[in-house]
Amino acid sequence: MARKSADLLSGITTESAKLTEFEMITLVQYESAKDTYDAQDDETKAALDVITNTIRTYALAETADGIEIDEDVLDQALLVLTMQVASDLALLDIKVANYSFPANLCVACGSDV
Amino acid sequence: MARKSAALLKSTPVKLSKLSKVFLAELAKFKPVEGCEDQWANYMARATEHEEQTSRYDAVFMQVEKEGGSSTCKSWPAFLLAGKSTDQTAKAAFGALDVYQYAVKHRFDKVGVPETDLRAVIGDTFSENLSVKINLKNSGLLAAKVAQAIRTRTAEESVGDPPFCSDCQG
Repeated sequence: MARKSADLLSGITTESAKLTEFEMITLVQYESAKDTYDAQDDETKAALDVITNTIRTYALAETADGIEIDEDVLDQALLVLTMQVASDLALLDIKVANYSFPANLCVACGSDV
Repeated sequence: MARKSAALLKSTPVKLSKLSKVFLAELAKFKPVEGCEDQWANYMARATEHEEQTSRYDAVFMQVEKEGGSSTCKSWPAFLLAGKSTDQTAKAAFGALDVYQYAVKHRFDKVGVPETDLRAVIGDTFSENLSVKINLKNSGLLAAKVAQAIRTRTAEESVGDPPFCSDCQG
């Protein structure tokens, strides 16, 4: 019985640690994504919003491992994903509206250039 | 076993009902909108498959009736299988009709980059091992939907040199 509780507790701890890690990584990537989004013109922002809204209809508020996340975190993750889509298309010379790369952020890791 | 039975069922010669023949003959008379012929031909093929499957289903149903009509009769598993196959062909036929209607509705859209090209790139993005991987119900279908949504807002044009940090440069 004690062993069962310990297993259960370890499961919860692992899940909570995974969630915290997910939230932290998402927040860091969201900040880069938001900077890139803000630097775009209105037409591009409208196109990016279309991508975000389309993804939203198919996204569940949980990680790929099935851990539930807050709507705020989901919103952040959706913007990260949207900017990743636009960036990947741009790397292959497909421009979404007037998309431009962030001037001082690495497109691969998001760190300052 | 089920797959074997399904293949067997599909290969069974089928006699189309009079209603199916009339329906398919009417469809054959239809002249598709110019530029959407491929989508219509695809729908015709799916509709024909569905009518054939419906006839197979009817034949198995008659057999079940002859055998007493209960779930213990010999043809019951084949009957269940035929039902499932009929559902699938119906979905495929209606799906193909949706594709034709969509093609007709959007035939004058100014498309920057073909949807298939966009879908391939977007699909790769979704399937990559992103650190912020959220649960997307069906990433393949989602990639297609995103491609469909932005296809008129894209262009094949260089965005310029992407900035890389010194660690990612190589």
